Amino acid sequence: MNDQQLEHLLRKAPAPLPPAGLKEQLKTGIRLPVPPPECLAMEAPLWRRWFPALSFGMLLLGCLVALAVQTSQLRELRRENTALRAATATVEELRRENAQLESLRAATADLERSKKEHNELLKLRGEVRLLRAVAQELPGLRAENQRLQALAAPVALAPAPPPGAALTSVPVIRFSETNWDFGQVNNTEPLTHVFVVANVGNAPLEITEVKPACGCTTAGEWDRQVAPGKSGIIPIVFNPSKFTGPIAKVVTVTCNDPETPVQKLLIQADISRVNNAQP
Amino acid sequence: MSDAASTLCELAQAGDREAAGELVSLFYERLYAWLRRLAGSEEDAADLTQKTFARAWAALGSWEGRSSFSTWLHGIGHHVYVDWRRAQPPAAVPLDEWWAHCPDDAPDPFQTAAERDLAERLFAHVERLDEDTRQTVHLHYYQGLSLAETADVLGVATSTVKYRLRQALDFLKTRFAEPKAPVR
Repeated sequence: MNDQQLEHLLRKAPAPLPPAGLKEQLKTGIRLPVPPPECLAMEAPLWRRWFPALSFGMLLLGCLVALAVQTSQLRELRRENTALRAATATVEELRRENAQLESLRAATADLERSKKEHNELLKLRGEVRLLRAVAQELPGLRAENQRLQALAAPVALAPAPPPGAALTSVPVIRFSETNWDFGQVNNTEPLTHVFVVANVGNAPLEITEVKPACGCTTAGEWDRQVAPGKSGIIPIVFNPSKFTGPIAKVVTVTCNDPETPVQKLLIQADISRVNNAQP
Repeated sequence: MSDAASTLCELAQAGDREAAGELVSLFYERLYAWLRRLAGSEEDAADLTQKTFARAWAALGSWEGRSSFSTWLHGIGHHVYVDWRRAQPPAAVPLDEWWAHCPDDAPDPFQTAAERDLAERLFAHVERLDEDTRQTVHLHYYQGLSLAETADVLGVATSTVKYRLRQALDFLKTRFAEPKAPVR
């Protein structure tokens, strides 16, 4: 049996007839939906008819409000951003200035340290000169000592001084040099020399006055008290601007050394006049 | 008839009971015959027919004329039948020989007794197809719906209807290729 034959037979399927009375039952059971009266349709609430337009309008209004708020916030943020950028630029400038100040402070500190080191160096040089002078005097002093011991031998045989006779404590001033020659110098700049003074006694040395004989010479801040066995400095500044040729200036030092209460210091120089130094 | 049914349906939508009665007269026999073949008993078929029309009247406002009233009514009937079928336990749905219960006064479509015998064997084999294919055969061949109408009623694509019919014919051909095998 082929497809056509099968389809032919299938299309001939008998239709069972409905039972009697079904038609009447179906007609009785008709329940048609009540159509809405036209007047009711016309009297739909106003808001319902306008609801789509109103809702769209509200949505649009909401969007506009949101847009306005966002724009305002955006403008405010931009203003804040500009202010912050300006503040950042100020901070950068302050940082630069701070760095410059720090470098200046470091340079000043270096300068102070250099000055201190320079003064210390001058002091040490003076001490070295003093020690060299003392070392040169040492053979003479030894000979003097031996001579004095020889002279004192008969005295040693004499009876000892009575108890209660106190040994006196005195300071003894000693300079590294009492004469300083600057040599050949120009008259353009002031000349400075530091005299080193030592106390070789056993009492504190009080240097009460350092008095130059000429207004061209000034004394710097000297050590007014020198402990026993220690040394101090007396800076002397000489202004050669008004001189030409060899000169010699005297500075008088007054102290409490009973043997040498006044010590004269001599400064010498051979001054050359420089033409451009003239005003 | 389609135009007349559409006109009657529009009148019924406007609340015309006479038009609704005319629609009942036009379609109730065809609808009953279809549901009778599917359901397996006269009582169930009559009940399903009433339910189908009741649902149709309730949903009459939704008919917009996109499909014919007949197709729309078959679609409602299909859903009514599926709901009823789901509510029945599988063993409770009898596979009766509906072709044997046709009234005597109905015209006999078969020309010879041999053709009737062949057709009855064919109908019996159709009742043993799977449910989807069986419903497709009922709608397309027994009810005379087109492929598109059948697809519309079942809610499937036209290609699916063609595929199911092809499967049904192939199955039936294999059954008839065997030398008069008893229907199981």
